[in-house]
Amino acid sequence: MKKSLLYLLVFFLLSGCEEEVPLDTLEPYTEKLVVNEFFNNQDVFSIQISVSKNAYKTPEPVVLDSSKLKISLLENNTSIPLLYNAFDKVFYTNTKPSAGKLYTLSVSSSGYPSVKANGSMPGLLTGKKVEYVEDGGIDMQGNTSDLLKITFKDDPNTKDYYKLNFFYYSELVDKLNAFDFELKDILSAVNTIKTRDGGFLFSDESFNGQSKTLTAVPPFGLVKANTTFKYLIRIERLSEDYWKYNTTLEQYRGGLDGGVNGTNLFGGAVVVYTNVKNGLGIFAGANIENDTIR
Amino acid sequence: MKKTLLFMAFAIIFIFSAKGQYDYRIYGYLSDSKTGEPLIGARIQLPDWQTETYTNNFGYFSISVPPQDFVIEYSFSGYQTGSDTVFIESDLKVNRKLKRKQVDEDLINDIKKSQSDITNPVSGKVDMPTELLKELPYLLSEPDVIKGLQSLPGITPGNEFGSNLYVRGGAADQNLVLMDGVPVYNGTHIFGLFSIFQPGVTNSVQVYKAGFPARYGGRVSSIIDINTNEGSDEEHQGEASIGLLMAKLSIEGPLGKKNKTTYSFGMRRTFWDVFTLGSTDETGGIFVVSDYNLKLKHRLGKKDVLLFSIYAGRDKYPSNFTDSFSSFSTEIRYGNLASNFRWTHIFNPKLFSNISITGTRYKVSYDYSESFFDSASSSSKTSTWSYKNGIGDLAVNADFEYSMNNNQFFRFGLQGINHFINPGYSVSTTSDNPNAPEESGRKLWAYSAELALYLEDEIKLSKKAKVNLGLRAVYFNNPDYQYKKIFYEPRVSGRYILKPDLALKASYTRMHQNVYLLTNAGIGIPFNFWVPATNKVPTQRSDQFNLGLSKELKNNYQLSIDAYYKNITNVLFATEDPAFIDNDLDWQTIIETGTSEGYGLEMLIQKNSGKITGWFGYTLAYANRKFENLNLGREFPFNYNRRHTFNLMLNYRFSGGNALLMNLTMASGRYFTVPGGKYLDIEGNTILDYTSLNNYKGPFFRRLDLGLMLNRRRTYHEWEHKMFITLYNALLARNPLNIYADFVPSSNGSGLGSYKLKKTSVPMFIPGFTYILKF
Repeated sequence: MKKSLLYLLVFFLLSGCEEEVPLDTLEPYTEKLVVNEFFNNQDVFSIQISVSKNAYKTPEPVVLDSSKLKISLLENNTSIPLLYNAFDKVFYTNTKPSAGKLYTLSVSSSGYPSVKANGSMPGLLTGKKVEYVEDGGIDMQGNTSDLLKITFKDDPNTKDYYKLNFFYYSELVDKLNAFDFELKDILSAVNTIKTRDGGFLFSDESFNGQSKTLTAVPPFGLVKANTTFKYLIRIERLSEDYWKYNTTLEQYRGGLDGGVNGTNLFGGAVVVYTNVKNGLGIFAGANIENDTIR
Repeated sequence: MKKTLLFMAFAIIFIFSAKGQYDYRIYGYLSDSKTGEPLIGARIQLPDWQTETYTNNFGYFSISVPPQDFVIEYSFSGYQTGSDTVFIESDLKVNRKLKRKQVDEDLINDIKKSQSDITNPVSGKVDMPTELLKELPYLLSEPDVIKGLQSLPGITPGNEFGSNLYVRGGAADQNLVLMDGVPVYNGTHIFGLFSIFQPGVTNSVQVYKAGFPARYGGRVSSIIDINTNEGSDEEHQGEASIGLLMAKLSIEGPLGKKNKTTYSFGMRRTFWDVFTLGSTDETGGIFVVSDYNLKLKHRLGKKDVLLFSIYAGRDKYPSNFTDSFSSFSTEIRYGNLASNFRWTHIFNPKLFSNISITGTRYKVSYDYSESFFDSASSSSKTSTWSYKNGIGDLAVNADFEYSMNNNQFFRFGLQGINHFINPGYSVSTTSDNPNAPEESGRKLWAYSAELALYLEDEIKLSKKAKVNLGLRAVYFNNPDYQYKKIFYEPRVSGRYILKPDLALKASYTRMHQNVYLLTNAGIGIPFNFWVPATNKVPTQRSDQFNLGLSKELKNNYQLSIDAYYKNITNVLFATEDPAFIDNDLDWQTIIETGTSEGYGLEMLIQKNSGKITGWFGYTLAYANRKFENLNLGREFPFNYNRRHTFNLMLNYRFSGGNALLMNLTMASGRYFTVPGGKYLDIEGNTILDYTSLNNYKGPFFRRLDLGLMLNRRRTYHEWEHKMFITLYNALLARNPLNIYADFVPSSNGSGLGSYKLKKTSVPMFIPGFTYILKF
């Protein structure tokens, strides 16, 4: 009887409900052009243009082909020729981007607001050194394993952003795989974001202008039998736009709903960063340096 | 230039000191003749000499009087005016008592305990009618002080059921909530369903939305000053009640010799856990919520009074599960402990002091333990994890009041506060490594300190004009983060009486705040934590202007209209949910700072006596936020702001002291963030385009709570018993708790689908019942 009374009380308390909200209460959505391009020193430009769609209607976002677009790319106000790959539906160049230059992308298409984005690519790291000590560390399971080290010097005059990945090479499948590692460093306390590809995004907030050494110990036994190379260390120097987009995207993905809605009951919605004026997406650069360890 | 200003300051002081100065003084305390409770803001005047003063928070006053026959009047709303014809040849100390007006069971008399709105120089201040708060119809017939405040113009509750206060666009942690002079850091129970403030033990509630006197500081949005009962001088009395959720008891009375010592004790507790005592059911757990208030007052002599008050409140949510193979138990606990030891002293008829030592602490903890049988090792294994965070203050305050003459009154003092903050600490153990616990976060509480000096000068410039000039200087030191600052806070408030029933008021105030609650944009949970100001998350500052009109209308109606502008810098936004971040993560890295701007118009019509009492309020409010790194740097509306709000709170007394009660709120919807579109991210995944933060205004809000108070008086010792019946959300309104987009996969299994906009609504039509016995 006592429990019944309690359940009755709880019933009244929870007699709220979930229901659908009519979509005509929303403001009409304006479809926009979406630019997606992370350019870097190792590849030519490869720019995808798509359009956003109303979230509550079935048509999915689509990638636009060249027939519907007018697009131009400038390097320090000088036009760069763009070619089109109809298979991948991307616009590409024959030249790679260069550090320190300003790239301006302009896109227009009938029925959508024209968009414009500026992006640049940071220069190479200075004072970089990569080290490998065989069986020099203890992995997360407590086994003796290899120790990988990277050292670099941060530019004191700029606010800098980085992404660090460690990969091991699987000779069996001829593939580079990321491995889980602990970042035992002050970085782990300061605005460091673990990415879904196993890397870390971080800024120079805790070591501006100083030399920084980061280490990782892969799980034991991953590359013992390798005959070619063992590991690859990738460090990227990101532009601020690249950083903001990545961090907000990771926050979006990190919601308790597994990133489906980019939000959760206890948190607020995440507005993913964009530097595309009148549009969405990202046009930003990063300088990538890969070091292999044999 | 500085010398000129100093000279002018002294000139102002001495010009007004020359006027309104008589030879002798009448000073002392004004209290309720039956209960002995101090009358705060009561008026003492010499009508033939057109001079007056008011009692302070302890019921103390001091007035300069001429050396001849004169009439002195003591008046306070709801009480018979006391009038004495006096001739004195030396200073006279009094302990004057006022009787309540004759109670007609069919009427409620002036129930607002306050200084008259016309004469009060402070604009933006509301004195809550505590008698109405005791009969406020709310959920499960549990009247609540904070819920009453939420139906005032300019104050919103945020989420439905929330016990936070969002005042003129300010955040919940930006309100200084004082219980008997002690700050309370989290005044909620059951995740916001109720507050910790019981109307039954509350003597007065003063709300400052603007015009903050210099004696208050530390928060940038509002001041809520709540004082509890001190206990009756005359007889023991009390009240006991039991409802669907809680049982309450409050008792008060004299201790020992008459007029020496009094006590007031109040407790409130849920009781459902009692039914599970002795139960063999190993699954489940019943929550426990409790509040305990105790206040003791002792008169040491004619000049000294000692006051001790303590509050302890707690929420506990246990849960356990056991089966043949494993068991686990969890418990969430959070609560406040607040205590104040005060000594008031009358140095001489002009100088009054209040020295107090206060302590307050809010703490949250979460404990989890698990045991299971490990078939691999054929042994039982256990693991535990516990987490805690909290904030506490130890403070010493010395406040002085100096009545220079009837035209000039000084308040000055100093306040020293040590903050102790722990943003989060956890420790976990396993039976495999019992001696190697894993710790995360900060074990010891971090220390920071604030020291404030203030001076207020209340000057009666003429019969019609009065100003309150104040300056507060604050020093803040956070040694952990090497952050030290000094701030100056000018405070100016004034009123001009245009006609005997009409006054114009204006104020400007600057406030600073050095401790913040990190919370998320969605539903607040107890694991949110407090942090101190640092170089990266610096001190918040508010500047507020208020212009108001107060008018006394016919038939006991009072009208006030206020227009305000409020700007706050360094408001915070947490980019991740603070409750779920790693304890070792530097919390500063998830914080964005920006600005808040609010402006609007408020109207309040109150009726404080007669068969029908209550108030009607209307608010027109704009409140926006702007952060450089959020929402692409664009301004967006504050999510808890509502453009238009109407409140109607009515208490209708009919025969035999019975009453019909109503609390109606109608308002524009609050803001939610919902997506507009979807697009491909850099990896080709579909993500949502939230076009802007708080881009969707929810539906029109309405809620009507009804109540019926049935009152019966027994002949046995004249005990009263009452039945309080309420109906929450009688209009069956489906006001949204949350509006969000939900992905619905298409039925063809393609993985594609569309989003639907959904809302979660509040429960409707909830009855409540409480039986009350007054003895």
